[in-house]
Amino acid sequence: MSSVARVVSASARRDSAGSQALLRQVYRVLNLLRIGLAVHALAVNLQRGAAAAHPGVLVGAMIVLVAWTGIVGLVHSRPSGRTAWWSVADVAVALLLVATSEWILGSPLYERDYLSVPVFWSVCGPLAVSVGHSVRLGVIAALGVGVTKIVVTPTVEPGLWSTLIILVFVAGGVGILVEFLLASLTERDRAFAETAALAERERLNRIVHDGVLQLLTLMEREGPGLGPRGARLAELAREQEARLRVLLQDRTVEVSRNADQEARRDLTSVLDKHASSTVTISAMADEVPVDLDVANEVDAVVTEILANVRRHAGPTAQAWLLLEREGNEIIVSIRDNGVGATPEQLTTAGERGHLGVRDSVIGRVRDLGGQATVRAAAGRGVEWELRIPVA
Amino acid sequence: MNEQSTDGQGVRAGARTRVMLVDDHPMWIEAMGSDLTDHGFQIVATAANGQEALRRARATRPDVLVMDLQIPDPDGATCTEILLKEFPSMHVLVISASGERQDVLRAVKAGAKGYLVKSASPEELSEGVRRTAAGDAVFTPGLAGLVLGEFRRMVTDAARFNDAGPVLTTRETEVLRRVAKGMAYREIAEELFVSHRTVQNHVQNVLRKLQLHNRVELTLYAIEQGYSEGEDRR
Repeated sequence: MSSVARVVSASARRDSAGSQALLRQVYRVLNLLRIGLAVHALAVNLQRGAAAAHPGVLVGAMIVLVAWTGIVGLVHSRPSGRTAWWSVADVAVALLLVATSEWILGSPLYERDYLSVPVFWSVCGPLAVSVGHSVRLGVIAALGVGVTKIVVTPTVEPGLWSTLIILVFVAGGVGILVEFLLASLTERDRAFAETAALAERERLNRIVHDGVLQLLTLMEREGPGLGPRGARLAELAREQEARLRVLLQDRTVEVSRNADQEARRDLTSVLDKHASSTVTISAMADEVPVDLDVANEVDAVVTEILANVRRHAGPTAQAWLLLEREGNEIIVSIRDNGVGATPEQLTTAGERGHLGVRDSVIGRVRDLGGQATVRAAAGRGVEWELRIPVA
Repeated sequence: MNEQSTDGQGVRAGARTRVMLVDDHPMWIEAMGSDLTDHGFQIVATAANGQEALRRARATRPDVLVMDLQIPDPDGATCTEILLKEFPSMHVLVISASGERQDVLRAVKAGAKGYLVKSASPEELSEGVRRTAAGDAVFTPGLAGLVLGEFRRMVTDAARFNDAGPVLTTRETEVLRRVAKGMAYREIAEELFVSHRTVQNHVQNVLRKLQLHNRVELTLYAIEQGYSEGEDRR
């Protein structure tokens, strides 16, 4: 109930194309209902008319009812005719006919079944208000018609009171239904608009990202020619470019996961994240899917080795990473052109309380069922080779 | 370009290398164009998309085509394939921002002479264009990794069909792996006890083998298609 109330209370837009199409149908049904109920009222009064207190007035009232049905049908067929004043007049005609019913028919005839001159036709006015303007006003109009009937003939006769209840429920219920439909339409239109806006934003994003990437690359290229500050700028541009590219490509990494098997990850994409102004990544063109655990562990080992390069190889050192796949084995080679190291340095290079980087890397790779070798000499950089079996 | 006004730095007038640039970003055309002009090259045409590139390359027949892979309609790799089929002797130097491995491989298999990342310095670019014009291969560590991977893939595929397939010699693999690990030709020559020129020849051979195999593969594919059609008719 609360969700219905929330949707209804949300101002349903009535001027959008979808809402107009819906309202056109609703008014057409309303018009048919009005014609049907007019025919019913004619039939009822034709049958009892001879016994009426004022038969001439009854004929006049029937002419008014039929004429009004025709006029409102024409007026409501155009959106411009669905105004508040026409609705007020609509309800007023119904009120007038209901209020004069006992006098026209005469008490003995009227008290047989308490059917007023317009019979059920009197619901059409409040219904139009409820659908076309607001449920609350529609219910008030329905109450007005029903209460008028009771005020004119104060009695506890159930037939009289049932009319009031039916009037209120029909006007209110149909009104709420239409408001609900209008709100849903508005919601749907908003969702469409949001989807379109999102697609447009993505298109703009692609253009902007491409432009930014191109500009960053241009800065990398031109920077070093502008002196030390330019070189610094170029280095920053390269780092940003690598980072942005990883962010943009991250989506494809997740998509390559195989849902029905164990989660797998493209090792190339994982290692590409280490690309920077000092690290070059080389790999084959095809993806290298490996188990998620293996990918994460290789990633961690590579991170450790590259951190070691940054700490010990010297400020100008470059590093290269090569990923290969040979049969059921992947080979990750990492080489730097830094100051190099003696075997003793590698063994004790770890932080205090930790294993040396050499033992740490070899241990981790051995846990994956693979083998790690390191080659180092003073002045000639350090070169790692990790061989890890994969399924 | 004002090719008549200056005698480009030590290059004989009239014998200047004619270069065409393809990139969809004007700032790159401008940057690369002015650098190459400074280094004595003559820019004979530029293009911002695939259609323009095809049309102008056919019209101007440049000595070297510098091709950005990320251009629209059709992309750089496709343009390279089309142009090298029409003009097998055209020298194409592929450049790309990075990370476009499949496209780089496609262009190189189609016959591009080399590959540079877009962030390469102006000196690296002009050196790359000079070597491409001379018919030498221009290899980066990234391209070496790609080519190694491609040969491994072909060997695996060939084994599946019980076929020899194209293979790299042990020496070629050694050289290529060292290039992929960032070693300069000089360093590789030193470590393998061979001459600088030998290293260069190995690299060149690898590329030729790859391109040749690509052509053989295409021909085989065509023949297979022909055979199966013939069998169907019988």
